Amino acid sequence: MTAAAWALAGLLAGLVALYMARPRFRRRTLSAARFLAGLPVRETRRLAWSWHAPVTAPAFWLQLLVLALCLAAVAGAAWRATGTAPARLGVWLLVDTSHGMTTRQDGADRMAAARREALAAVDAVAARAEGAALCFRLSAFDVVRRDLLGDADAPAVAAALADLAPRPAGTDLAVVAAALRAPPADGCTVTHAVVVTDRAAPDPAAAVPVVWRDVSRPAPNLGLTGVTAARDPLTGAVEAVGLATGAWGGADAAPTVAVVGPDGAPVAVETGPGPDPEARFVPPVPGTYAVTLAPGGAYTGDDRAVVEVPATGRLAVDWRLPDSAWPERLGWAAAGAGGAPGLRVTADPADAAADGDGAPVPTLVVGGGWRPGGRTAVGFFAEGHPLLDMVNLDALERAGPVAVPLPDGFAPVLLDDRGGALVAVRDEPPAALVPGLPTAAGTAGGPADAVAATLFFDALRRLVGGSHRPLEVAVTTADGTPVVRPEGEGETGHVPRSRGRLADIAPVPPGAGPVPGGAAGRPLWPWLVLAAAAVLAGERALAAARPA
Amino acid sequence: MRLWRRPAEPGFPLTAGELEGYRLAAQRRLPAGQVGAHLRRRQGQSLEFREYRAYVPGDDVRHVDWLASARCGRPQDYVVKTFAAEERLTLAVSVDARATMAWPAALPKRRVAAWLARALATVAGLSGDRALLHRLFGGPAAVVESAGAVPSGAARRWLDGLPAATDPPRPNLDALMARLKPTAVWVVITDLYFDDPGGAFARALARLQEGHRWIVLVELDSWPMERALLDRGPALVAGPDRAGRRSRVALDAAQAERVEADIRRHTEGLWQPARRGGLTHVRWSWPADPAADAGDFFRRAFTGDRDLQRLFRRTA
Repeated sequence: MTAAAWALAGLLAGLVALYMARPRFRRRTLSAARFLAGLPVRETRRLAWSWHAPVTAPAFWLQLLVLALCLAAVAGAAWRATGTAPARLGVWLLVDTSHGMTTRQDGADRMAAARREALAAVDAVAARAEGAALCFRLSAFDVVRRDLLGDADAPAVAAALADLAPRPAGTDLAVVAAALRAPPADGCTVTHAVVVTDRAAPDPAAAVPVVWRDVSRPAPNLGLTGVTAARDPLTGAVEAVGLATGAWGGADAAPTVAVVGPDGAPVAVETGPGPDPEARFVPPVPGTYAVTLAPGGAYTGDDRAVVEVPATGRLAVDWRLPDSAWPERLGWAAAGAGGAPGLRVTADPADAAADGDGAPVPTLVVGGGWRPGGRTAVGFFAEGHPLLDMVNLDALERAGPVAVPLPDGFAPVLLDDRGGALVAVRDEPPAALVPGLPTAAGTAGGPADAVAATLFFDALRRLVGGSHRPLEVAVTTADGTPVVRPEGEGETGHVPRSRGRLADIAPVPPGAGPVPGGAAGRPLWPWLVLAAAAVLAGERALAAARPA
Repeated sequence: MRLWRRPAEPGFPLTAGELEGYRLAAQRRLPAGQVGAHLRRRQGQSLEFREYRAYVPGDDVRHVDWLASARCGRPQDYVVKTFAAEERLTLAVSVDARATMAWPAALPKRRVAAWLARALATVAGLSGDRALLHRLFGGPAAVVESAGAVPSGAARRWLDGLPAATDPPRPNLDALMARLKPTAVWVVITDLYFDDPGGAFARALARLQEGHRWIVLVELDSWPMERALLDRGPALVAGPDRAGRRSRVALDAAQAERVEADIRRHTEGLWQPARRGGLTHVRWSWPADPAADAGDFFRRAFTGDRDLQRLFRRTA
């Protein structure tokens, strides 16, 4: 603007100078002009300067206004028309329709309270519109946002609210936060947002003022909070299922968990001690287990779960070591010709190469073995490496592992003092090098054997552990409908926390707040140019009407 | 801050009462040794035949019809021709409507010419005479007749919107000459700034005088006012007949006298050679004040002009 001000000052000075210049020869039109043609021509300057203020000339001010308007059109190319519209009030109602809204409180569910709160907000806003342009948007949210009305009046919102009902889904407040940061640009332009939910008000960054209405009241509830599986670390077989429970809102009854197996027969459940006891049952066979918790409390959406216990077979191993008794001892099956093995055990690092076009097979390379009575000095080790988890290096030195040259493509994890590889690892294709099998130490039951077994199983866990199919658990409603992302829906004990007041919602005056039709608005410079042209036309008309 | 208002076109400055008073005064006042238009008419040669009657002493022997007398029988029975008395005066008013007549802007000559034509036509109507309004230069013949105490609607429209002559102006006299009776009066209102290279205007003046018409040449001289404009300082002078050419002029007294002499030489050159005794020249000189009131100027010029009053004198 500084440059524009200087430019305007320069134009003003030029215009004043122009008005101070007076033509030395006044223009005259005479009927007797033909008789003057023979007179000698007067040679002199055509302009004369006359110091006087031009403030009494309307043309001066009109021309100055034309210059100012043109300058404003250039300097304010980015200006947008925002002040021509009347005051506006656009309220976006975001109503929680998660399954937690079925929680019973004060004799009704939370959805009813949410409807009342939303209708009260609509009425309050309509009362405060005071002639402003009023519009509403209505959206529902749980784990996703659903826009129900884009530009509606109060009666339409009230009708849509009556049709709102909870859905079998949890609550994702990130969806609400994202919506408040970037309200929709189409339809009703949002000036305020009202969120009605049973979740406590967070402190999200929002593009518009937000009124957060938490309609929840603490209500006693017992419910399942998690399902865990105890697995065989090598085969992934589910050996037991843990059922975590929780109590909220002052619920003090001891929950009872009942499990029905795939065959419809009850399954024995062990219940642990404590305020949030964890129940546990051992699935006798793979299949679907129905879990029921009683008494459920105010929220019924966390009282039932269906647990799918997967069927798991034995680990198929491509055993390439001479001691073939080990697979049977570990319960492993020999890899058949029909499919890829789950593990390859070999003494030749070359076998750890890629398997042609097929999927790479995790390979355990057994190194130089153990030297009973010998002692191997450890020279280098990777501190905290998973392959050395729980390994006592002192015990390892006494066990006498025999080092081998570091195979190609492997990274050292444990080297002896002469650089020989005792433990090494390769990420792709997955492979691990260990000194030998557990019994190779020849000190069964002793510390050295324990070191060998620890190294062996650390390597196995890295190669085949963690790849098991997760336990499939579905929390369901009373009618068996799965609840999507149900975490936290049953936590009915939090203290309600709202934010903002409906009384603070007021019409936004012209020029403030979001601009209808998007943030850009309409450019102002064409209007400035048009105004300059109109003023110039007026000035010319005035000049034409002025008597000579 | 000052705003301007476009001045309204001034209206005709004389009322009907003033014109009637003018007519009555004109019929009474007549300078010694001069005759009025009506007296000239009775002494002229009317060609409108009325009847034959027997000669009585005192009749003009020039009115004896010798052939008719020979057919009557006795030598002493002479027959004389009588003619209808021509009581109505035909007053033809030609107005110069060339571009120079539109200036000076403060008091355009064309406006004064239109006022004068209207005043003459009105007074002629009050006197029971007939007026012919004529545009001196221009295209098709434009002659409008006005009779009665109030100018006709066509005459008023003609006067209110006096059409400008096209350039270059050409004399437009044929239609008027055909309608001028031998005893008519022709009033020409012009600034005489035009050229007459073919001599058509001078020939018309001479021919009409020879036909016993009385010509009154009213010269509108705006030079005093235009000179006053030039006395205000150097000027870039343009003229309606100068085709956009401008002259830088800083007029001093000597130059002003020279210009005035040139104007006199030019204007008198248009009518002096054609003067035959039936031409009266009247000059209306503009006031030397550009802010002079147009209506006041016209009223004083019209009512004070004795030559124009003679047009309506009925008795010797």
